[in-house]
Amino acid sequence: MFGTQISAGPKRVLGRLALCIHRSGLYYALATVAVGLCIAVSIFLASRVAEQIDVKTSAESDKVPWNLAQSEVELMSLQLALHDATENPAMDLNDVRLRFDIFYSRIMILTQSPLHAPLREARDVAKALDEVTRFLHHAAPIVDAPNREFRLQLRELELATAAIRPAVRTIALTGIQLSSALADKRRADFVTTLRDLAVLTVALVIFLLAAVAVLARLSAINTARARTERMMYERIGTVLANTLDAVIEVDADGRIAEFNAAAERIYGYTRDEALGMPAARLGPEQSPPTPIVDTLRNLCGTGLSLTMARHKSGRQFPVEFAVNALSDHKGESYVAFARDITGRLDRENELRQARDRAIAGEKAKQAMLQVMSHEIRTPLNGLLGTLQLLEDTNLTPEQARLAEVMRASGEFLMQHVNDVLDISQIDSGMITANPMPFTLQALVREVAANQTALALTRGNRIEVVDSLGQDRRVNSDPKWLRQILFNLISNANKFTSKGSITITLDRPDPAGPYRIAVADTGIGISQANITRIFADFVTIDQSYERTAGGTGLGLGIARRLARKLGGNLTVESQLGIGSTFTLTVPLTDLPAEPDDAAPASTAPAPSVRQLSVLMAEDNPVNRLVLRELLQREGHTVAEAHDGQEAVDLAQAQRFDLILMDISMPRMNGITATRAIRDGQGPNRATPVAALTAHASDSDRFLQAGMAEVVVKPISRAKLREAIARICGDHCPDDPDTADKPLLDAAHLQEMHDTLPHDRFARLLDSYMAEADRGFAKLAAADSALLDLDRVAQRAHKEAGSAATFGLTHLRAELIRAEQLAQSGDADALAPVLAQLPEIWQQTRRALANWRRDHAKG
Amino acid sequence: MTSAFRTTGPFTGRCISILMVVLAFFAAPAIAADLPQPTGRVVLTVDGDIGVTNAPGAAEFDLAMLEALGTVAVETSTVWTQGVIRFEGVPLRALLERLGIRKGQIQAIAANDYGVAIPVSDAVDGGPIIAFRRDGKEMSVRENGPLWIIYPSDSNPDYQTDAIYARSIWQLVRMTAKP
Repeated sequence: MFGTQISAGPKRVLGRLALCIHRSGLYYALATVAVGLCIAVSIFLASRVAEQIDVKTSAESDKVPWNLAQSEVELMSLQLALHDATENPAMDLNDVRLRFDIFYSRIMILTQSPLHAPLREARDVAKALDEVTRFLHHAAPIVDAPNREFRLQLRELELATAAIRPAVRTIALTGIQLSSALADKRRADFVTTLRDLAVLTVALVIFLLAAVAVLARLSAINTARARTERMMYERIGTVLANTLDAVIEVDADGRIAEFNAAAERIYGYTRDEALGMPAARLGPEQSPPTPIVDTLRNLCGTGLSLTMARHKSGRQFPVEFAVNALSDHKGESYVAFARDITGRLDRENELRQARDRAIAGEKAKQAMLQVMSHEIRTPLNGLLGTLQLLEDTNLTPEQARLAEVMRASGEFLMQHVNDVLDISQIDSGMITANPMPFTLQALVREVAANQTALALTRGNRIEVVDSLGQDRRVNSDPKWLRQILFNLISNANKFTSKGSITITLDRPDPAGPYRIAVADTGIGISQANITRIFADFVTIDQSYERTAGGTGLGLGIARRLARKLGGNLTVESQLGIGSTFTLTVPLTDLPAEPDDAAPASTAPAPSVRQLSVLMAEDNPVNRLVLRELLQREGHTVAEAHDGQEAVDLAQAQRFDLILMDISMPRMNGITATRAIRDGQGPNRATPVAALTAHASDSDRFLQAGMAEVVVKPISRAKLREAIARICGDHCPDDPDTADKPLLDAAHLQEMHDTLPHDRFARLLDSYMAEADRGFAKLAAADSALLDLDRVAQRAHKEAGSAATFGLTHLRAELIRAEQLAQSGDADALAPVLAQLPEIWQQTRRALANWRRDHAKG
Repeated sequence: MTSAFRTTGPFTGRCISILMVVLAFFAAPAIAADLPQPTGRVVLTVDGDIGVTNAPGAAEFDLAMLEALGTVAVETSTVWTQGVIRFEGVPLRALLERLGIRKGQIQAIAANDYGVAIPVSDAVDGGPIIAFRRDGKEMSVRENGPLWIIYPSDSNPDYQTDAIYARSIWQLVRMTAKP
């Protein structure tokens, strides 16, 4: 019941759609021709038959033979009457006269009647008729005469009458012959006509039969087509009725003409309510309202559109819809297909939010991992550094053993933290390969050599088998490659005891990737576990002696790095026999250059002069460790607890090197570095080394003006290396002061503008007088006998005064002197002190010139 | 006459016609009651089933009597003559009504004993006449006279049939009414 009600609508729509498809003129043309032909033939035949059997023609012609025969009869009657009268003189003659008159009238008809015209044209008849007419003209006066005279001539008349009998006979016979011929001809014509009629009838019947056959065929085709169409309508009707999309037809007046079940569900109107309703009520409220038909026409054929629709309840909801135009005898109409996409949009939003949450979660995880690593490493670093210091003190053997265990545990923990940090950095894509040229064999041998001692403790022997033949210089990231190999070898070492570790280098395809296989003769890995060993945090065989401990990240890191280099890491293993890890990695070949094939690990021996170092570090443990490390190297150390203190100190005193922690309260290392670099203080050009746990941020630090990045945890070796690098480049033995201007004119000007004029002049006069005396005294002093502490104090004081007046060069030299005095380096101090009076004289002249220029202005 | 009235009463047209005839008789009461005796030569004898006679079982007419029944003219051609001819005569209808012949047929006989049956229903207004003058002159026997039944075939194509030509009897001398 429900089905039929709703399927009616779409069917009608389809019916209209299909109407224009099958409107063929063929039937009509055929039928018109057939009917026209039938009518024409019928008219033709009817007229022919009517003509043939025309009663009048027939009557006129049939009368002829009778008339002629009757003529002969009348003549014989006359003859008999004459004979009777001749024989019987007493007989009334009127009967004779009557017979004559009748015969006369009969002949008159023959000579006058149009019926007999053909007869009269026959030569014999004309002659006979002429003879008879002459007889009548001869006889008439006799007949008309009085009885007495008539009676006298009866005999003669009888003879004359007899004489014309052959003529009358001729007329009659000829007439009959003519009539027969005429009748024959007419009969023949009629037969012809009938034959034509028969032929035409047969033709017509054949034609009609053919037409019937054609019509039957067409009818069959139509029936089949109608059945197909009906089935199609029903099928599509069912589809439309049951479709989830609303199907709405709108007529040219903008009123709803059709409304399917889905439309009822989506818009809330019943079909009965919707039919005839303005379609605009289904759309969003508009002011001013656009005619819905215009809107629909514009949307025709433009594909799917998105718009808001209005439910019966007034609720608005998003729909996706398409419009098509229909044209039929009722005019233009539109069919709209609409789909409620509220749910879809909601789901899309949910998905988007879920994705955003996932991304945010992932970011948070990364950030947390990094922060945690940092937060763990910083105290751990302190612990390890302190332990190192502790080991350098006089310890009892028992204490030394305990300290050693502590240090080993600490380093092990540090390794774990570093592994986690590595994984998170690789996964977050924060690190990229840093390719540089190196020799492959040298790198492999170096890593192997570094592990040899450790391997020996477990009774293992490490062997390198080089199948490449000659040294290969390649371009790749040696750090990563070293780490991969390190992880593989140390892993092999962990699971092998009293066995061998063989590292094989080869290249199966001369142009393909290199292959480095690390094979051990250890416990091997079961087939069940072999697929898991590259997974993170996986440690196989928990029961193995705990020397084989580890985070389970080593192989995961190795495989990640291998893949980042464009290669791969695979494993083959047999339980109880051993494992072989194979690294396949494409490396760019470079031409051989044996000279710079030295691996980076050959650090130069520390031969660095003593430096004054400013150390900015908020963590007290780190401060303690760093200070100790630096002082043992012979450097002097100034401490700042945060960035601001560092800036203040740098303003007051010149340093050879600044070690700057990045994460500090009040002012971070980057801001502080910028402040020092951009300021006017004596450390504008002093190299700054960043102390950080965030190796990945190196670029940012370098941009801020830092010369070096020292990644925590800081060991003695790292510190030495960094200082060597920095001072190799940036710390000449004699600080270059030649480019320092004598005066900071801007500073002087500012002071001059700030103070009252006379007060500024008095201050300057006073300073100059005092300086004259001071530097004169200094020049006279014997450096050998100098109290270095007093020199330092004095230089410090003079430097402050010089800074006040912007005497840049002088101040720099004084600070240098102060530092040298503080460090107790009397030999270095002497030449510095010696040149101070000369510098003062230069400065004094410059100051005098400046005053003269400004006194005028 | 009253019986005639009674039998044709339902037919209004017929009633009016008969009424007119009756009125005509009242207008000429001398011949109303009976058919007069012919004074001239008898040209037509009507016998058989007739209601009015002036001889034993028959009604005999001379030309004057026929003419007295009312003369009409018919102009027509015939298949036996040349050109259009003006015939004058008494309507067959007038004669038959005068004799009370209303149904059946008339056997018409010619001087040469030619005979043909004419249905009484042929006797209608505008129908056949018993002609006795041709182009204003009485017709001799030589001219198919003295009486010739003429159907106006020029004005009525229905009369151009074989049967009608057969009924166009000339040299008419006798009519016998048959029920």
